[in-house]
Amino acid sequence: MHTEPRIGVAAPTSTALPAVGFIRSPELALAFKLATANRRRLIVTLAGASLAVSLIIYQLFLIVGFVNSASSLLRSIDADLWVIAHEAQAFDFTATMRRDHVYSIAGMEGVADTAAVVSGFASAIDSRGIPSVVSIAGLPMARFRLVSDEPVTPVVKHPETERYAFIDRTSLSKFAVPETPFALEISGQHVQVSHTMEGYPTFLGSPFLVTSEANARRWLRLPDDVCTGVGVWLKPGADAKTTRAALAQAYPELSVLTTAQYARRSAIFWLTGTGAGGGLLLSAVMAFGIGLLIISQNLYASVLEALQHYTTLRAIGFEERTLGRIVLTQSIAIALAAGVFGSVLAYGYAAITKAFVLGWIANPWYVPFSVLIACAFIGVAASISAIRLIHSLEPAHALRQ
Amino acid sequence: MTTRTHLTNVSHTVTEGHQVRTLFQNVNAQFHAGALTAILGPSGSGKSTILSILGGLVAPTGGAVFAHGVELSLLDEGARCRFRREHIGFVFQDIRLLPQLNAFDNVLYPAWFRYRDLGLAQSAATEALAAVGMAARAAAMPAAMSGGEKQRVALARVLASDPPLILADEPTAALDWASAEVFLNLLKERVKGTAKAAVLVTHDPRVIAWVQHIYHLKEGCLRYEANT
Repeated sequence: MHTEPRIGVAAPTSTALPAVGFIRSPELALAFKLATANRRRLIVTLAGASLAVSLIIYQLFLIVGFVNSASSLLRSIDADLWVIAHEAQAFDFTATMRRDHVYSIAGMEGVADTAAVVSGFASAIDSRGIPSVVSIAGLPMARFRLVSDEPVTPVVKHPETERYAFIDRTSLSKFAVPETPFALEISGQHVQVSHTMEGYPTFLGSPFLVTSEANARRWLRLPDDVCTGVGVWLKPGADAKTTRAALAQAYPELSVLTTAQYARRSAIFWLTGTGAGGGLLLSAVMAFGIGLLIISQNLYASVLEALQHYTTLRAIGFEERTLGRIVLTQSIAIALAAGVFGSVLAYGYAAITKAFVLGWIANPWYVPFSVLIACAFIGVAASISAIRLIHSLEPAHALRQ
Repeated sequence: MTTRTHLTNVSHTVTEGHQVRTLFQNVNAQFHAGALTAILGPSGSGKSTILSILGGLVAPTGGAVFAHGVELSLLDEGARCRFRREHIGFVFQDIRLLPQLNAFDNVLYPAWFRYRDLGLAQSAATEALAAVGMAARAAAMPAAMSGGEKQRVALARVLASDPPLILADEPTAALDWASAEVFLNLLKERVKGTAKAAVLVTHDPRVIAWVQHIYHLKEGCLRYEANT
């Protein structure tokens, strides 16, 4: 039985309308309605895209941690300039140069102080007899800063003459010890790893041992007349650019870099010159591609599924660009939501990773912020094929031919 | 009665594979305001194509089409689209409500796009649903409606936008006769004595009882018959 129309009876407003009442544009409101209508599809799309975005962010956290870690010792010294061999690729993957340059450079105009550093890898055997590789850094300890800007001096009374070594707290597990001190045998010599530091985790699995230049030289078996770099501190008011140019002219066989340039050279070497960094970079790019594909594929499928409805809307007067805006809005909204959920997931992974596996992973705020912006672009890119599909619609198909 | 909607020497050919087929040639027709006009004819005769041409969905291969006083061939695609939104209401054979939206939203959104004013669109949607007797079913989703209910919502979708020209393609084909009668009564009532014109394409001779003018489309010719 069909009831006769009851003209004049006030219809209740839609129960669903208040949910979009705050949206004053019909395009936005309809985009919201259509996107949330099939909740199961929306959840699957969001889950897939969020997972992909979380992988992008996680990979970037790894890269940032990797880059920070690659230059953490370098930045801890805070020299204005560094003079190194041309062949030196990174602070801990370096080449030797004559040590007496440390004196001649100190005499240059604008230079207040210089210090030689030595760094390199050595094999170590722990108390269990297990061999491993350690990265030894012999630094001007009076300039070295422990975590929270603490100087070394109160911890080590005579940093230039005592036998000691600092190790990052996260590296203790490598030697199966809960705390310092503990003993290692390095290059056939007894070494007491005496103190812990924080903020210098290693990404290579070879813990940093930070000590004086003299100790490092001994453990690395380097002759007295070579070093792996000279840190340069300028006089107050001296122009870094001018001094750098003068040093470069005086020492053409060496590279003269600012700390930022040296840090960048180290980061580039580890990122592009090694399998580990290259793998991280490639993983981030692949995760980005996967995220783009997931959002595009789901959006395209949902438009394909609703093709006859878009044809109807075209027939009743919705312009192509209006429907395009609806799809674009849906796509960007899904990508941004995936950005937010993905960020939360990535922070979770990073916290777990930092606690149990990789102490050097970083989680700076600008990574998810940048990825969120990238997500807006993913949303735009993902909508292109769906919008093209809508543009190919013939509104006349809404009517029987 | 005015005839702001008419076809003048309209011809249309379609290409099917390598063959060109003439659907109709030099047809003339007038569609009167305040009245229902039916186009009758056998399947495949081109009735729906005439409706598509009148609605600006298809450009004829020859002749001039005036819809509500506007020559459609002078409008570009975007302008034709806006013209459809503001001046033409379609009722489709397969109804074509958006399944994701409830009855109220199916009526509301086209009206909202038409008026660009949510308050006005809400009033129009509420009034149109009441006019077709679907006020109590405003929150129902299309999947939960009968065919007759869906077609009444589709008519409400048209009425809410208040177009001067209503084009209905086999509007009773998917309905049982009781529902079809309700629909035809509603349509007649909403057009009678107004400046609106309604054109129905149908192969159902029972529809004749509700219309004032009839065109028969057969073998490419359109023949007028006053319905007395």
